[in-house]
Amino acid sequence: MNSFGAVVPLLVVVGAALIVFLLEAFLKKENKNYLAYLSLLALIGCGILSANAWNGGLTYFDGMLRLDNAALFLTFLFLIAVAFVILIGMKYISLQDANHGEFYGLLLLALSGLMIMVSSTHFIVIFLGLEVLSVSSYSLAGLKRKDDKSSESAVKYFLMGSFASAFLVFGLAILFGTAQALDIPGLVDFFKAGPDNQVLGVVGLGLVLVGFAFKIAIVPFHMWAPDVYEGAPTPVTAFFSIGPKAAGFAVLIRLLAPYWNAGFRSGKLFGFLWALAALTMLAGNLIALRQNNIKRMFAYSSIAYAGYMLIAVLAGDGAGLLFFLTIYMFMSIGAFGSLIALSRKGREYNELGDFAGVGFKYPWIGAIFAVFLLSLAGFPPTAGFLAKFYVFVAAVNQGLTPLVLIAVLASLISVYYYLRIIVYMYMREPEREVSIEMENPALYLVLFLCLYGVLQLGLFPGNVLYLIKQAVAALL
Amino acid sequence: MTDVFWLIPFAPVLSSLVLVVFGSKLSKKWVSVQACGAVFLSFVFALVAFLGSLKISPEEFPIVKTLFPWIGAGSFQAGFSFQFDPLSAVMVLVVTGVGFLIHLYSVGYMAHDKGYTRYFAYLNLFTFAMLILVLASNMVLMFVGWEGVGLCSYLLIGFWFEKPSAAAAGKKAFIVNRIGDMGFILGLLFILVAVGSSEFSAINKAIGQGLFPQALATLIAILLFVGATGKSAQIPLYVWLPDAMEGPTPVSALIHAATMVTAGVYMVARLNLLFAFSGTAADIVALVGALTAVFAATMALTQNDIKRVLAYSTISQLGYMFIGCGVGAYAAGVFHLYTHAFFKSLLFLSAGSVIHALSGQQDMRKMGGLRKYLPRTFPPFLIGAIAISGIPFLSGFFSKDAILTEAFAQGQYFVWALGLTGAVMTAFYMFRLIFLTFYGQERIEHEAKHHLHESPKSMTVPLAILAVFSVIAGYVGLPAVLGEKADLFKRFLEPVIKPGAEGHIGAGTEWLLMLASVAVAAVGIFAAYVFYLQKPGIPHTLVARFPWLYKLLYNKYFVDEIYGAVIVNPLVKGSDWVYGHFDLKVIDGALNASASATGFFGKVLSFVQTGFVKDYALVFLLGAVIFLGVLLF
Amino acid sequence: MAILLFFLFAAFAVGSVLGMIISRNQAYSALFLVVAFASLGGLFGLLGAPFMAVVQIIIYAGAIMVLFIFVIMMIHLGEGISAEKKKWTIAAAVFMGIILLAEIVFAVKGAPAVPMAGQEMAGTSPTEIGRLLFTKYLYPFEITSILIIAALVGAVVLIKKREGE
Repeated sequence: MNSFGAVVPLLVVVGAALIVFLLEAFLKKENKNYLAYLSLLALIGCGILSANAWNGGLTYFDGMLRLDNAALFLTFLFLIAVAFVILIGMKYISLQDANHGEFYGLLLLALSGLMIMVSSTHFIVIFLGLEVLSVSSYSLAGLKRKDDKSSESAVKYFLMGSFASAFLVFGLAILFGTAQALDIPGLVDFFKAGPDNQVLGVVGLGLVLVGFAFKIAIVPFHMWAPDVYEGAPTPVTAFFSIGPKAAGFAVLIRLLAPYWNAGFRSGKLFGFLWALAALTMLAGNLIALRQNNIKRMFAYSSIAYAGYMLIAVLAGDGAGLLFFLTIYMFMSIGAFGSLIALSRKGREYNELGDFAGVGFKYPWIGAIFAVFLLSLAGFPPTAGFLAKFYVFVAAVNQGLTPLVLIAVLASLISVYYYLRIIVYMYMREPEREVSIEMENPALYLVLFLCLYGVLQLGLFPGNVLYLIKQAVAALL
Repeated sequence: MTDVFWLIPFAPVLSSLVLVVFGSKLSKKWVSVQACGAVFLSFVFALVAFLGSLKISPEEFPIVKTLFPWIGAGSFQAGFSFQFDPLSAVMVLVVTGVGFLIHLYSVGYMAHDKGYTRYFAYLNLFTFAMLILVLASNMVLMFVGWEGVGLCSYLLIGFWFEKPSAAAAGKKAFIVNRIGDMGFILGLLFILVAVGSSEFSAINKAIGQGLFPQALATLIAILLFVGATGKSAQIPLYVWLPDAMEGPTPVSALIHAATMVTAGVYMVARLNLLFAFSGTAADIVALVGALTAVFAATMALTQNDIKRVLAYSTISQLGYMFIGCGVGAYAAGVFHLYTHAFFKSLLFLSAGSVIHALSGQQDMRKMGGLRKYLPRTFPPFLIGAIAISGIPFLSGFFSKDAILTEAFAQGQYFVWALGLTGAVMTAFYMFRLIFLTFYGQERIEHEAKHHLHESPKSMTVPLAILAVFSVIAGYVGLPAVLGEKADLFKRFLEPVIKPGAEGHIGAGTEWLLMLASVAVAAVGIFAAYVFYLQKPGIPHTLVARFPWLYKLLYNKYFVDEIYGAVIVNPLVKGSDWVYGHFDLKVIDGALNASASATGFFGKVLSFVQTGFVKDYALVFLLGAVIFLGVLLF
Repeated sequence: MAILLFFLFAAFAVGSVLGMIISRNQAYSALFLVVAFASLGGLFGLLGAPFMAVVQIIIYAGAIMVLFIFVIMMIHLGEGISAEKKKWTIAAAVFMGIILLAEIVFAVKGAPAVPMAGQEMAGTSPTEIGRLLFTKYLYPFEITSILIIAALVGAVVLIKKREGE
């Protein structure tokens, strides 16, 4: 495969996005679902083409494009996630009065950003991928046409995102100036060599990390998340909870795992990230306790989850991180999907009070939602338990016991608010009338698949772990 | 024959699934048949496996059956695998046997409840989780069961969620147990790091080979014991169990007396090599157990709620089990667990029958003279009371005596003395309960008396069966003075619990100790007789004489209030001072409020979440400035 | 001379950016930004990057800002919205900005000057830049096209929404 062959999967996605934008103008309203089918087709095509590169481990364009197994694994993950998001969004988009073509097209563009980000170790490419992702995300957040909160979230996301990007670019400039390199191996070599201007280099690295900390919503760079999660259309929120986060963490582990191994595991950078992980887990879970809007609650929950993932990064545990991200994708999309299931035309049910008695009125949705919540809370034998468990074991092995102690404490707190939803669903009399749009087969398909994923990964994680092992071999 | 053991847990879970999915379409009759039948099937499997295991030579234990490899990457392995050995055999027989009887009883007790199907779905889910817990061959899988029973317990305590007190009790149980679980999971993580596996066989092997430093063993054992104090309601985490009585009475019998609360004891017995190796940890276990045994017994003395008396009694008896484990008499501890399962569930179920008869009345001050109205409930109740009080020839006597004798033999005189003190009180409060409920003058409210009726057959038959077992169950573990081989139970458990260095005491001493036990029991019963039947004025005189003591006991040493004051109030006070303008709810005492305390932090943290982008940017900037500062200086 | 020019351009850049932020009138802000871009172009020129200098002035100061100013004048948004003022937040922001600046200055001061080894001034000619863009940096260069598409569509999405109201 030559260099141009290697970008074909990416081009399929981008091409599909362009076609979707074009067709949007010509399709009648009742035929808009074809756009979704087209997008799904593109995702499948991209997946098949990418699968060919598995175990190839080749780089293209002078090392700018790196299709190693880690990149491919994450690409598959993103493809599945976006497919799920499209499916849960099909009905939602018409019910909540947003525009089909833009939704699918921008999602595909955001996907291309994710793919670009994870399949490179060169920071110019990573940055451009991040910007593609961000720019698409800003508009995705504002898709609900007549909803002020949606516009507000788009503007907030845009402003804060630009602010963070400024830090990132400035950091990259400093790094390039001092290290004469922007690819990760080159940077690590520079720090390993330990020249005099390392201080400046570390500051550059710090600024870059600030930029990424924003993207993955680490406290105190997390403040955009609750507002954006709440305001954005729910399928988009589901996408935000996994896409940008997974890509950001992938870059971090690519960068930091070798950096730790180069002898910086006890440095200040490590110490500060340690503290941020602890702060993120505690603050995320504590604030979530007080939320009565479920989407906001999930926003804080996803912040807390970023803290757990940061532990994996600190432990340099690539396998644990990928496993965690895979499981988180199923749980998170499943949970948001369940939220979408509880909506009807022009109305969403996102307040805790709306959930009173739902477990009896809609037993299937209630039961499935409960499984996702239990998984998020980390109850065995759901996958959520294994995800945390793997990371904690790896961390204790690396001597991060105090951090694990905090993590266990934090997840203990988190159980309270996840279960609160279940308590509302099963142990409260309904406070107000909740009626939902039942006919939504695509959504139910996704719910079923996510449920399957959560149980499969909780009980028989073997196959996925095998793939992850292959993926991580490329990473380190 | 024994190979069928891995099937034991699956009948209840299938039944539970069927009830969840098709429950609304099944008639009440089918729900009952299906739910009880599933547990009975499990019991049959357990019995078959047990009988098969009797023929197996001790070296072949444990028999491990790996259903599928579960966690298989990285530095450790954990299969979804079960193991069967004498200890698991005892546990599964108790869980399924007693469980089946309680299922049967529930058919009558819950007959008019609108959550009938939901009840059995939860109950069978619980049975499944409990069976996983006791059959797991590694600690990770055990943790699955451990969390599962906790969750079901929470659901069942809050079963009547319309009652706010029930919902609060469920919450409290949940929070307190999570604190214990934290100890468990940390201990588990340390074991994984130290041993590289969480299989019990591997842990025991590592201890045998001395791969552990002793300090690490002590740390792990103490962390795990913290978990055990949560689940088995020991000091300081016992506070949830009395409140758990808000659940339906059969649930109290099954979960909060016979099975789930013994999970901590089971775990300690399962890891007996670890605790024995540590030494220090074992001493802590014994001491905590002894203190709990006495402490809980004193609180039982003054309670007026019939179920609360039994709840404190459960805490106290669990303390005895831990005494047994702590002094190295693991077999005696498990023996007590086994006999206790019969007589305590018997007591709860008979109490349930009384409550049922009185249309839900639980206050003993509004009972009395019920003997003649409840002819089929009274005899089992009395048998249960005699058994728990430690009167010879009933099961409780043998097991309690075995524990106390061993404590004495090991030279733990302080623990022994505490145990004996607890025994007097046990006899006292049990017979206080009997006399107040069944004897003396009738103090029944008019309305309740109108409906007064004996319970249906499905309730009284299980009572009769349990009563029989409460009498005879002890004969498998006769004291050592009656012959070297008299203690069948202990010899049965030997493949799991290697007999340690036993303290040797002469036969004469042992007879004396036994006599002492009997004497204190008799004293307790006699005192109760004098206080509550012969001269009913005495309690009032005593209350008048020592009002502070009565208040202290009646209010359960104000422990709930102290937890509230130490953990909750400082936070509330501080918050008032800093953020006076926040509408802070002042929380009613109780540990229930610890959740609100964490909520307070949430409030402070969301203070900065103003909704203004510029404030967000400011916080962002602050983070960046600190980050760079840390990197530079 | 170069030093003098550097400080001149730098002062202009910083001053005009400050003016842009502080000014309430959007047209003024836009004009300040033109000055800032021009000064930046000057700085690039001083650093020996003539192509960058020219691009900066032609594209940013020229094309883009002219468009900005047209738009501002045509739709006339009037005075900017005066945000709610919290004095302490402004003070805190300024304070932290100064600290951040100090930190970066400290870091830069601590670092020895490193000559741009192996790349000194090479690749600054338009030909050289063009060659690099279509060889070594072809992949990122093409990605920018995706970025531009995303930005265009995104902007349209947000604007069209406003019309719908």
